[in-house]
Amino acid sequence: MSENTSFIVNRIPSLTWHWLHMNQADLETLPVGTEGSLSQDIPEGITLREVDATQFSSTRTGMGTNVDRIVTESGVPVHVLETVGDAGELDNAHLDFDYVGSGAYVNAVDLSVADGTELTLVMNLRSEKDAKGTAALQTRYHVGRGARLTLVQVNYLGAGYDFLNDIGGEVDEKGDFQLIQLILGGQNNYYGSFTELSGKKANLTTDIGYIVTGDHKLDMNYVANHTGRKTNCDINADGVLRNQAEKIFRGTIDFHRGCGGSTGNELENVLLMDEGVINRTIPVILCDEEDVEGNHGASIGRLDESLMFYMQSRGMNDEEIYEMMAQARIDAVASKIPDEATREEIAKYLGEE
Amino acid sequence: MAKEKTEVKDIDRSKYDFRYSEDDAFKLNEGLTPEIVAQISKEKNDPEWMAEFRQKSLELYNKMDIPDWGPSIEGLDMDHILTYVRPKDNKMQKDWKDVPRDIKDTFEKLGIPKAERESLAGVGAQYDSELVYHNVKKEVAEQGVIYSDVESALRGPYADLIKKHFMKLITPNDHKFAALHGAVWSGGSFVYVPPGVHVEIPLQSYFRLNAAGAGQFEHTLIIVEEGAYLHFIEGCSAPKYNVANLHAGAVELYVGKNATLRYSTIENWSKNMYNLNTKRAKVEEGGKIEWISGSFGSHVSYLYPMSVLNGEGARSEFTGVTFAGKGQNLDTGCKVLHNAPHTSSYVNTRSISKDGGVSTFRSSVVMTKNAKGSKSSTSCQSLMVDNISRSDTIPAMDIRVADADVGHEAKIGRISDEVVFYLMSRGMSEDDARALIVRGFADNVGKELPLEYAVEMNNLIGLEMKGAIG
Amino acid sequence: MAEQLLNVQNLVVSVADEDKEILHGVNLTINRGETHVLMGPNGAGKSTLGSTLMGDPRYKINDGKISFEGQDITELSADKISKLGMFISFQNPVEIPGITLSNFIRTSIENKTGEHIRLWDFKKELTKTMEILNMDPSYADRDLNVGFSGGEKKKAEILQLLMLKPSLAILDETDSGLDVDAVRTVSKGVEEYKKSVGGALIVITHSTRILEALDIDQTHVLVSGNIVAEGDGSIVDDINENGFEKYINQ
Repeated sequence: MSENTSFIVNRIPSLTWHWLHMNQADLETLPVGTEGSLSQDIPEGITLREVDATQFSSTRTGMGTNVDRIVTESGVPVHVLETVGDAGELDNAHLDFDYVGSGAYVNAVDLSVADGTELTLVMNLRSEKDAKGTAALQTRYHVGRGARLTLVQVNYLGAGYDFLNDIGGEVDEKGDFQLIQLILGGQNNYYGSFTELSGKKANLTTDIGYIVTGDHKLDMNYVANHTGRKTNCDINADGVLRNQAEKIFRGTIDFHRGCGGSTGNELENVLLMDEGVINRTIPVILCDEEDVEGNHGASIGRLDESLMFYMQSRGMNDEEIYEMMAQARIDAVASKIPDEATREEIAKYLGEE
Repeated sequence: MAKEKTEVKDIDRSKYDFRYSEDDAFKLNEGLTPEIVAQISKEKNDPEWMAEFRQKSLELYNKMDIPDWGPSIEGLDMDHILTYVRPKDNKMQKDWKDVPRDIKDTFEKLGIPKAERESLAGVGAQYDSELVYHNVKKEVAEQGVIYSDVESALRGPYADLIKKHFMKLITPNDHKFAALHGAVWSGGSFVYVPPGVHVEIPLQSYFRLNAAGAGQFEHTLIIVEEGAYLHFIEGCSAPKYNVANLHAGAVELYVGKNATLRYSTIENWSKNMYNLNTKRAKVEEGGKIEWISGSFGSHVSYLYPMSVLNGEGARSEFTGVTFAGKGQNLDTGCKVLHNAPHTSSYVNTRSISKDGGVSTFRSSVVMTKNAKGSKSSTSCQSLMVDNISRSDTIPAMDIRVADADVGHEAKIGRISDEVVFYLMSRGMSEDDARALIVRGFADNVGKELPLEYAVEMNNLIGLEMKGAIG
Repeated sequence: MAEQLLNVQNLVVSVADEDKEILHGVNLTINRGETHVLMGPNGAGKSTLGSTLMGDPRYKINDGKISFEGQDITELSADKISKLGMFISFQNPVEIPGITLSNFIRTSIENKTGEHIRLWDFKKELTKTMEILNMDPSYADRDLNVGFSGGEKKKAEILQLLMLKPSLAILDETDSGLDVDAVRTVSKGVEEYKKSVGGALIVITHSTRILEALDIDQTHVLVSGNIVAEGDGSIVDDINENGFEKYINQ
């Protein structure tokens, strides 16, 4: 892959040593395609319309401008979901993406949550089990004053699907963006999310749960950009790597000057189940403001000794404990999804019941 | 004695033939050429392999790019690198009265004796330090320890040993400034500790460096053989003043089976310095490297001591503190490569940013497939002293073994108003209260240093906090 | 003659990562169904002894032998010891997100017995047992110890004790940090264990509140890693009044 022909995505905001090969991901081609089939279940109080890509909002995203190019060059429409003012609490909205057969699919979604309204949107990504293909999904959002957006994305893609999942948006004063992502399928997954916390007391919570198996790859880039005062972010990533799976997690908390009183927390737990896995992590805190608190913690590899002992003392052997904990990691993230049908589907997918 | 001093003088002249004028009219396009490097070899009476090595390094140097990921080094005149390597004019500060006032003040406040001050500032008066150096040398020599400069060791009985190890750990193709070092290195220390020998007193390099006339491209090579112990101290709390403002040294440490090497540095280069130093240790089975690192000086620093844990059960401990004040951009941290079973690394760093200073903690922990049962724990904390400074934390981990235990925690925060208030309510001034808190914050390094250094470091923090220097 | 359950001979223990020796040769015999109290000042090594019996890898056994249920368990891992019938109520139980209390107990029982238990039967017993402990039934579906208060964590430990029905239970400072009501509830749970399971107990404590309702067979006083006194329940009263002083100065 020479420099001329690769397309950079998921570039970390602060570069480090190139020999680590962690600064970015390089795509050999841009997976331009046709629109993926989409079915929707939209409750009252939300409008849905289609616009062309020129009217897509232009906020920065986690994966970067090469995904914008995919959307533009594919010529797919942008689905705009808007909450109407004073609509109060709404039922959950659902967007189901079903990628048919083997192909290259592209979708774009723009979410606009008006001041004081709430929207919970569940996106399910599915393909046939053995299909091979690529899918790119770009989601932009704007969370108004005192508004709340809960975005749930569950990836059930087949083991031959490469998936680019790009998110970017802005949160206004006292707005709240909750992102819950479960990555259960797909072959090579690229996930990026950029959040501009520009309003005073804007909040971001991100919970990611993933299982990567076989020789599949997961490449992530999450950025919380604190520009407003007293903003907060919590980014939690919990996952399990099996076989020869490979994963890289880039997480950046960026405190800009003027974001006084802000806090940011990042926590990563990775369970390495087999020899042969590759786990890479780069948790960054950038700080240009005195009055902030940033924390990062990571725990990679074996389970903690005291936890092992506790569970052993209840009669479980090492293998049982690891299997149980692997399941627990995903369950803990899934249990945060405020949509019962989705939780049940996940449990079913994971073969629990 | 007399003979040695002549030799020192010769080295001085070759290094400080310095063009000091800022006048652009004098600047020609002065890249580094094979002829110039050959001239260095000739003057140093290099063995043939070393002369070749310098030329190869030069080739690499000319091909490589400057880093695009750290602090800016635009202030370095890379087109006229020769200016740093072979200064033309002879205006090296040779007189105490020419040493900048802020540095003199610092010496004063740190309570360093006058003779030592002058020698530390590199302005002659080397008699005292040489005396100390020679005393140290005699004492350890009785244990079979070799402590000398690299140039003379290259021609002595340890020539083969040096050839075997010189720039094998830090190779010239590591990065541009390692290549530069390979081409123009000069001066430095060679220490050899035979198997089983426990060196009781810490060896201190600044005597050595000053005796050889400051160290801009100095090379430190230390070999601690099986079961031996050494504590080596580089630098001291007083500002090390150099006229030329590029420092590209290299430190290569070989820690044998079950041996321990503690390598302490309190670096306080003057604040015009670009410090692009490379340090690396290779640790064999059951051995241990302990890095104690304080970074206070220089304008820009790129400094990441690396531990290569190459034998089963090898260990690395890194304890660091970085204080970035006005006009400083200090990018520091460490690298650890776990390449054998049951190795462990422990990293504990603190950084402080003040008066617009920028400090960055940067690290990498890599575990290869060979590192079964290994452990790594990193804790880095940053303290923002005011709202015009900056502090970044950029740690990277690459784990390729499942049976591993890798923990990392980073915290960034400010001095708690509550604590300041508490201390003030007990009668302390705000400045003193803040200085006390920062000293406590930097205590991880302070308590690892020999007492006299810890005291100097604490004084230094006090001075930095008052903004009296810097 | 009572049947021997646990036998500890000359147990010498240090912290695994360091060379610091904590127990210097402890001997202890417990017969089936007996109640023993292990007392001693802070730092005496009481918790170390409890954890070591359970097979805690953070401690290294340098010398001595532990037999339990007729087997040498000195080298066994905690899961195997648990399956033989030992239980410990931890001083600071870990929090495990993603596993509910109910699922955890059910899995533990199934692991121990090697048999599948019917969900209906399990739920019934669990609800009944939680009632004894005045536990809100909603705790069964909460993640294990996550967000539990100190008292709730201890109740969850006793709940496991009652559900797992071990032949020996070690209660490590189960009463510490609890208010009077919580201690009463925990005591009730322990009485229930004695009554319905009839197992043996080692109660580690440095206070005496939890002991009031128990018939003590033997008391052991541990000071600086050595058992310095043994006797019946009257030692408890003595310590209650006079403290550890006379044992420390021995």
